[in-house]
Parts: sequence; C-alpha cells; structure tokens
Amino acid sequence: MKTKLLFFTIAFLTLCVSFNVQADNKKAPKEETVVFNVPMDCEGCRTKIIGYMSYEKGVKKLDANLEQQTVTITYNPKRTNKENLIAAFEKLDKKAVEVKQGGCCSNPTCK
Amino acid sequence: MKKYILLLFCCAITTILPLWADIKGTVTDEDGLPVVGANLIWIHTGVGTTTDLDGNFILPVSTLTDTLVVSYVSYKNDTVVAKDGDNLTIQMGGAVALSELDVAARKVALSKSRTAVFDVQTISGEELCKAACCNLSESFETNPSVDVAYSDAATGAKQIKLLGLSGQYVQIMTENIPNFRGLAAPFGLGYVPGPWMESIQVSKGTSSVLNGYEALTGQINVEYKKPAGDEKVAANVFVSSTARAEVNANTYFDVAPGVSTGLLVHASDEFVEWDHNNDGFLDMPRVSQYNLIDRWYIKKGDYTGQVFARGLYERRQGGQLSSLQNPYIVDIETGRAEVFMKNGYVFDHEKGTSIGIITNATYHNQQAAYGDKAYNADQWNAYLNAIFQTSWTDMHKLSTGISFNYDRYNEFWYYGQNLPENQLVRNEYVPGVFAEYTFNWKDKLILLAGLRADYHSTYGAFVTPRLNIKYNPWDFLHFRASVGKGYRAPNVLAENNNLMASSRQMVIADDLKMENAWNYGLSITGYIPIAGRELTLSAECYYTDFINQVVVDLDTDPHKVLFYNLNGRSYACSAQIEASMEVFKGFTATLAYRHTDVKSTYNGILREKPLNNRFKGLATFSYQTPLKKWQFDFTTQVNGGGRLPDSYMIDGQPAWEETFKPYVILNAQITKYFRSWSIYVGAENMTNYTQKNPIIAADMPFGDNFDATMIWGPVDGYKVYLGMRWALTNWKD
Repeated sequence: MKTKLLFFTIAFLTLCVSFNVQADNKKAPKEETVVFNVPMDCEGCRTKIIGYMSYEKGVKKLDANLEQQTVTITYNPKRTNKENLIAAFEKLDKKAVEVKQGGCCSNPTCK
Repeated sequence: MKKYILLLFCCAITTILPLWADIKGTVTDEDGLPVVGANLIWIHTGVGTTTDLDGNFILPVSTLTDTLVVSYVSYKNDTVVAKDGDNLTIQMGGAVALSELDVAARKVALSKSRTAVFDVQTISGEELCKAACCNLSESFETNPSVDVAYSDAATGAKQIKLLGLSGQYVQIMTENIPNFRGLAAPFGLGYVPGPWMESIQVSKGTSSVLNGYEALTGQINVEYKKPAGDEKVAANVFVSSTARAEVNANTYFDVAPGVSTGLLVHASDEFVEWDHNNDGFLDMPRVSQYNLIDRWYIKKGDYTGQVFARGLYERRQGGQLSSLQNPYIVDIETGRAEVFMKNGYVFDHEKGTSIGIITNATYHNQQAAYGDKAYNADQWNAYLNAIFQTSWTDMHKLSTGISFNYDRYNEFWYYGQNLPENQLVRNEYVPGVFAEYTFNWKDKLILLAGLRADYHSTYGAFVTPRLNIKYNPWDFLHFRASVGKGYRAPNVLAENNNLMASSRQMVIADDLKMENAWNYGLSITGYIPIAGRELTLSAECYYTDFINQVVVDLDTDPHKVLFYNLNGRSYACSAQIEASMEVFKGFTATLAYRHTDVKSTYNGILREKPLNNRFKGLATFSYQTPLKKWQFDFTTQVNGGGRLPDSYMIDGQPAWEETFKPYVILNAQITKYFRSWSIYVGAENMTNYTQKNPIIAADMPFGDNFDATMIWGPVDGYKVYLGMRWALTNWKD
C-alpha cells in the first residue's frame, strides 16, 4: 500500500510539473520574438546554436531552421535584448542579422 | 584584322570559361557505398546542393570561398577545398552516435535499431544519464530486456541476465572486441565507468559470427567516448549516501591532421562500513578502483587505425565488520592491463572492399580471499581477428576472415587453511575461420547467413551456423527472425569463485564438455503514428535450448555446489512486449512486460532454475522542459517471484524459504542543465526494499551452514546520490 501511494504521488507530481511548465509558456505576459538570419552549414552547426543559445539569459523559446537559415528566439525583454542576442551569436563566430518583416535583408546569404 | 579579333575572342573565352566551371563528385560512406541526400554547402554561405540517388553532385563554384562542408546525418562533417573543375570523391567516416544530434522531437533515448538485421537496442548517452549509472553493471536500470542482480552478499559481484539466462551466456564486447572473459567474468561489468560510455548496444539472440562463437543468448557491446566531436574535456563528480565518491574525466585533442588522442580517467572509493540489518556483515563491500584508458586515432586517406591501452586496479573488501574479533573477511585485489590495435584499409570505395585487422592482448591478475578460502589466479589472453569484406552489388555482401584466440590460466586455490592446495595451469588456443553472406533486397528483405568453424585445443572442432532474417514489407512494420548456435568453453572456478563466500564445498566434474545451445528468436516491431507522434510497439519471443550445459546444482546437496554436464533438458523461454512513445512534447514513456520460463535438469529432475525472476514489469517516465533546462526521470520495476534452492535444516527449521515473492523497486532522478554543466540528484530503491536475512548463519561464518550466495533481491536499501557533470565544448566551427 505504501509503495503504491508513493508511486502514484511521484507520478502525479511529475505530471503536475510538466503541465505547469506547459501552461506557463501559453500565458507568458511579457515577451518578444525576433527572427535572425544566421548562416548554418550543417545539422551540427544548428545543434550547436541550439545548445548554446538555449542557455542565454532571458531566452524562453528557440527554434532554428537549417533550410531557411533562420533562428527564431522568443525572449524576455527585461532580461535581454536583440543586441545581447547578436553578441551571443558572435561568441559562436556567427553573424546574426535581424530579418525585418516583409522582405529579405542585406545579408547576402539570405534566400 | 577580323581573324585576330576572332582569335582574341576565343582566347578570352577559354580563359574565362574555367571561372564558371562546376565542381562535380560523389559522396560515399565508410564502406564505399554512395550516400544519397548528403548536404554540400560552401562554408558560411548557406549555398549548396545535395547528392542524388547515385551519391553524385554538381555544384557551381562560389565567389566567396573555396571550402566545401559535407554533412550527412550520423556522420562526422567533412571539409574539402574545391577548385574549379574538380571531380571529387568524398568518403564520409567517423559515424557519430545519433544521440549527439539534436532532433526537434525528443527521441526516445532507448531505441531499437530500425535498419539492423539483428535485434539490436541501443542505449544512448542520454539514457545512461537518467540513472546514477556508476558503471556498466548499473546501466540497465531503465532497460526491460536486461536484469541486473547481485550474485552474492559478500563480494558485490553483479550479474546480468538476458532472456532469463545468466550473463555468462552473453558475449560482452568493448568496441566490438570480446572482453571480460575468464577471470574478469564475475566483476568485469564494474570495470567500465558510466561516464566513459558513448552508447551500449544490446542484441538478443544469436547475431554475427564475425566476433566469435561465444554469444549463446546475445551480445552486449560498449562503445567508449571517442576522441572526436566537440567535447574537448568532460568531468563528472559523484557522491552517494553510502559514502561512495567518484571522479571521472575524459579529454581529447588533435595532435596532427588525422591524428587525435584521448584519455579516460576514473577513481572511486568508499569510506564507511555499513551494516543496516545488524547481522555483523557489511551490506555491500567497500570498493576502490583506479582506471585509465589512453587511445589514439589515426586517419590517413584509406587507412584508419586505432591504438588503445588500459590499466585498472581494484580492491574489494567485504565480509564482517572489521571491528569484530577474528572477522570473516572477503578481500579481492585485481590488476588488469589491456592493449588493442585496430587497423582498417579500404581498397575499393565503389565495391566497399576493405580489410580490418584487430589484435588484442590482456593480462589479468586476481588475488581473492573468502574467509579462510582463497583463489589466486592470473590470465594471459591474446586475440586476433582479420575480416575481409566486399559487396559486389547493392544486393550481395560477403565478409570472411580468420581468428585466433589464446588463453593461459594459472590458478591456485584452497578451501580452508588446513586443506590441500591446488594448482592448475591451462593453455587453450582456438584458431577459427568464418564467412558471412548478406542478401539485401531493396532494404525490404535482408538475409544474413553466417558460418564459423573453430578448433579448440582442449575440446576439439565445432561448427557455428547462424541465420538472421529481417523483413519489412512496409516502413511501419518490421519482422525479425533468427536461429543459430553458440558455444562456450567451461571455466568453472574463474567464473564462479565468488561462490566460495559460503561453506558449500565446490565439486567440479572432471569430464566437463563445451556448453552449446540453439537459440531461436522471433520479433515484430511496429511504428505507429498517433496524433503526430510515433508509438513504437514491439513483441518478441526467444527460446534457448541447451545441447550441453555445465549445470550449477545448488539443490542436490545444500552443503555443496555441484558442476556437471547436462543430462536431460535445459531451456530458457522468454516473451516480451514493449511500448514507448513521446506522449507530448518533452515527455517520453516506456512500458514493458517480460515473462521468462527457465528450467534445467538437476540430478535427473526437470526443475525451474533457482534464484530467477518469473516475470518483470517496467515503467519509465522522463520529462524534459523546453530548451532542456530541467529533466525529471522516474522508473518503477516489478520483479517477479521465483524459487530458492532446496534448503537444509537449522534447529529443525529450514534455513531459508522455498520461494520468494515479487517485489517493487522505485528510482527517481532530477537534473538541472546549464550551458556547460549539469547537476543531478536522485534516489534508488526509494521504498527501501531489501531481502531479509540475505546471509545464512551470519553468526557463524566459519561454520558448516554459512552461505552468502542465496540472493534474489536487493541487499542494500535506499540510496540517495548527488552528482555534477561538466564539459568544455568547442562552440565555434
């Protein structure tokens, strides 16, 4: 009986935490999204960008698209900003250029 | 005048034309076979192309750079300098374990191979990190197919069971070379620290003949961390509530183009003697271990080479508390050195013709004292395996080769201070030849037929046939069938000397023959798309039928353990179903149930094998938050009951029960990740379930009734641990 109780408590807690985190993402009050054009040569480069940028202060969501050479970051504007994110990319020796709405950019690698 | 202008014009064109020449070529894999869909991109530009169905590509020259990056899933990237009009053949190599690549959806870290003909399950680095996993013996906590159990309460030797049969019938390999045989068999799984492992492949049933004849129920192959990749230095520190501390570190660096070297280091010790059940005996022995590997990788053109050297020292001290008067002490001191060299050379990339030569030498020395009994032995081993491979079309592939194995055992033992001493020196050599043919029809039907012929200097010649079939009519349904034989030369004392931690007399028949068995297996795996995700469902059943077995008889005489040739039937039947899936983003779950029926003929009677679980149920859940900041892992195992060997009487009562009941084990772990490091805390056996009275007659260890080997469940209770992992990664390209 003790075993079953412990088992269900832990399984329940695990599920609670996971649902909570999911819920947090949905009702995020203050956050901004920016799309960067970042040259990525291969899957490995994309992995490194995800592995490095995920832990950058203020980053809440991250998506990197190899085909379109873009990285979409959702961040908390109180903790970081676009300049800081570009500086973080520079630590990876990568030049990130913001993609403005409705058009390409000055970066010659943009498709 | 017009002629000159025309001539000038022609010259101009011929000088300009090469500027617009294309780069052409082919991309192949390590076996020389074309790679379809490999990416070739001019570095830092994002402009490139992919290879077609023949592995060919054509790409205009870039104005920005002349460096081309070639990449393909599961291979290490290649960079080439390409000039105008070049025609290149690029061979990819250094296959990278898939777990290193991040995939948008969370891959179930314990994955069954879709493409291999054999029933192979890979335990990735990520899966290994879900549990404390201090060494190889503890790496199967979340795996439904492999059971891990203590073989006795005095030495801490952990045995694995695959398909219901003891780990002796599983061939253990490290880097595809048979390892931990002979003297190293009882404790070998503890010689591979968790953080050293890149991945573990568990294959059930008979598989390839290329690695020998010793896999009767399956093979477990351990891949160490490679001196390659972006992780330059990594370290791990671990402490547990049993006052055990461990430090692991691995590093690698490139010495010259194509030459890299790596170092793997481990040191661990335990500082306290624990006796929670107050029987005067340590719950677990104190183990201190120092372990080091140095490896070199060389790649030059068509040649790949690897040199590997390892040194190990271990001391296990168990038995009674040292504070007692005249205590029963178990003291095992081990020294081991291994060196191997692998050489590979590709002759023809198109046909995939290549040759590989592996040579290995090992020295193992063990001094073991069990109370007033002792077993001191050393073993020399030399091994050679040369394989020649070629595939003359996509459909046919042939591998053939020769092997040679030499073992020299020098064993010295006695069963009591005043009893006679025994010594035995054995030289065993086994030359062998083998061939394996693969028929592959469009990856839908794969047939692998292998045959080996070996000659054992003591037991004579024998033949090992094996057949594996894989049929997947559709992408989402795979069928596998296997049938084959396996052999083992008996090595009773070396593999069972831990049974000396009892008053039982060891009686070994002097006419022991080679163990051999037929293994039949059938499995079906389905990949079912549900709500945008994939559910992996598999069912399998394996049947091992022994033609000869060295029966370990604990029943006939409770004061003895008898070893004799099988006279009757002996079989192991195992049926398992398993389901795993990423239920929602970040949350993976695996559920499995296995039923085993293992019987052998003991003294003329067909009976269930003692100390075996009749079934096992497993449920593992793992949740990883977005951006991989936190991870929660939870595992629950239900181990079925079984029977104990026949008992004798102490004061009119049986010394132990006839059967044991099912029991539940719960493990959990929480990990917090940062960019370069992570910290984890966990608990094992959270309900503190232990086997009551694991040691029979613990009050009189030197008497006639003492027995520490009647173990069917956990001997140590709950354990809480804390650890930290750190890695220095090269983030720049």
